[in-house]
Amino acid sequence: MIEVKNLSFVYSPKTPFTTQALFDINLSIETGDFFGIIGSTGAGKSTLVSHFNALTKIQKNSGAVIVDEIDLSAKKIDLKKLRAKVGMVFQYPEHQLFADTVLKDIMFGPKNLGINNAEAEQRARDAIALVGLDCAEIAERSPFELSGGQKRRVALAGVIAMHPEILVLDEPTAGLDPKGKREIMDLILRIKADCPTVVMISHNMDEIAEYCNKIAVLRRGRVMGVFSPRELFGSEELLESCGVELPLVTELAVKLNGLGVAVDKSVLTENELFEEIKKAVGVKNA
Amino acid sequence: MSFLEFKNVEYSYVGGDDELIQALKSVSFSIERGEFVALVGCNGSGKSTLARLCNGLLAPDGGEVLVDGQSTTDKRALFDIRKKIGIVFQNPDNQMVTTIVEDDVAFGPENLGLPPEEIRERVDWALASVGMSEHAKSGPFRLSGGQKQRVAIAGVLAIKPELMILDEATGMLDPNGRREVLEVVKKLNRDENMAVIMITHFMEEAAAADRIIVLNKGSIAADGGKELFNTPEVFEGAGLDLPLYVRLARRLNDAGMDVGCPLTADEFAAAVAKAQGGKK
Ligand SMILES: Nc1ncnc2c1ncn2[C@@H]1O[C@H](COP(=O)(O)OP(=O)(O)OP(=O)(O)O)[C@@H](O)[C@H]1O
Ligand SMILES: Nc1ncnc2c1ncn2[C@@H]1O[C@H](COP(=O)(O)OP(=O)(O)OP(=O)(O)O)[C@@H](O)[C@H]1O
Ligand SMILES: [Mg+2]
Ligand SMILES: [Mg+2]
Repeated sequence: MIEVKNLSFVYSPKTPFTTQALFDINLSIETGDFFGIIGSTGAGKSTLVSHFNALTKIQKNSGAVIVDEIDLSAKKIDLKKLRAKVGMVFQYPEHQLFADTVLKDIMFGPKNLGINNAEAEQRARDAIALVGLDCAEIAERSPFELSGGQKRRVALAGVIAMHPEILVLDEPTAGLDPKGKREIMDLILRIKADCPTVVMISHNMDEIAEYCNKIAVLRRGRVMGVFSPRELFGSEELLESCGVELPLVTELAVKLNGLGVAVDKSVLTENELFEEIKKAVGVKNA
Repeated sequence: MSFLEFKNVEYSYVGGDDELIQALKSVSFSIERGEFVALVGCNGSGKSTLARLCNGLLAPDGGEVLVDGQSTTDKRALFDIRKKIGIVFQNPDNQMVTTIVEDDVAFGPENLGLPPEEIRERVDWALASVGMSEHAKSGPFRLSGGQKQRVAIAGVLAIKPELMILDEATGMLDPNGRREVLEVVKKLNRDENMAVIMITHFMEEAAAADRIIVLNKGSIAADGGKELFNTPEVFEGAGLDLPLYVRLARRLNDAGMDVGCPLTADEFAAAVAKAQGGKK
């Protein structure tokens, strides 16, 4: 569980470049949540989640973040314990790749937890397969000499190999091909049994609508509200006031309604839309 | 003579243990001024490699790449070629060269040797086009992921290239920003005859292009207009999805409706409404 209490954050304080990125944020992410964070460019999403594994230190008198009893505003934080618990995949995977081979890169995390070489390697190989890469082909290559989507998969594998309890993903499917997107989301759902809490930043509203049970909307460093997908995407006023766009499937449903096809306007997935259209048009199942 | 021509282009990277990683195999196509082309393919299929070959950042191992008839391996032609072809890369961090956003955007036009007033004008216009005017004096490293991406796009817009290659350049933009950037690019394509190669993983975006090139494991699997979507095997064979509209339409057709193969949200809605009308 992650509690964010009155969190504020200022970049480069007391300089001409100072930017306040977060204003008095309050959020409660519960165990079991698939928690979406959305908001336009520069809203503060990455800054917010970078607090969750203490990559960004909480500033003086700027609130608190508590991750399962670990108080991140404390003077001394048990970083090892925290980072074993919270796995974070960055917005740009380049920022977390560092070793000279893919295998070593992924083994680094587990080894850091004190796991022996053989098991760390086993975990790394399992993780490589889970993210849809071919171990034989890729294990000994440099992570920097991969395509964009391959790098993202390696970064994710590095985090999965640590078996975290909370997974924080900053635009995890950006740069992945369509199958890759689906595979990665399926993978996240699968590991959710052992890693019950997932926090995901995304600009892809279809993904947010399909997978998240709660959605926090950030705007200019402030939380506009936390909603269920149906609440948010079903309400024109909320979408308008929060500056949020519809998922493509929901947009299609709205357009269909406009043309007299009476489908539910708050559909959130492709399958729901398909069933709604069949119902509205009166197609018997083939 | 075409504006850009790939003739049997081969390219391999040399991996860590001197192993060759073949990224492009006998790739041939050409692009004319004013075309709007979507380039699609799975992760690792060779899209970014192809982009880097267009302006001579990489030289082909075999075959040739010609821009207005000049080979990218001709060192004297390179300056000219880079004036004509601007690329926005996948990772904007690698593209920032200066410490102030507006200097970064001015870098390209300065290299073109343009007069200062024109540079100023272009920088202002490019930053406004991507909604980053208020960050002109900021440091590029003090920006969010999407803001960096916008600056990188502005940097290429300011060159006013004859061919703009967007390598998943809108991948980290919010839906609004994505639409705005695509609008600017489309406008340049329409009004200034700028050619566009848009590399994207969003098949709905690809469906809006005039022409689609499909890469599969380093080879061109298909190259054609919107009619390609009538042969879904082409995309499935390359490990890709169909656009949402086409996927839904196929399922509805299978369920006994007749909605054809719509390629936009509006076409889709209209086709379903018409099919409903036919039923009642
Ligand atoms: N610098 C490099 N060194 C070695 N191999 C590379 C390098 N860059 C790419 N490759 C390899 O070349 C092949 C093509 O990569 P490329 O980056 O062109 O793919 P892509 O289609 O752009 O993929 P993505 O959608 O993931 O960005 C891949 O197998 C990749 O691993
Ligand atoms: N290193 C930094 N130094 C100074 N300001 C920064 C820095 N990183 C981000 N900012 C500023 O803080 C604000 C929030 O940035 P953040 O990266 O959290 O946004 P975001 O919601 O993740 O956006 P995006 O969707 O573009 O990734 C922005 O106004 C940005 O310009
Ligand atoms: Mg971000
Ligand atoms: Mg690429």
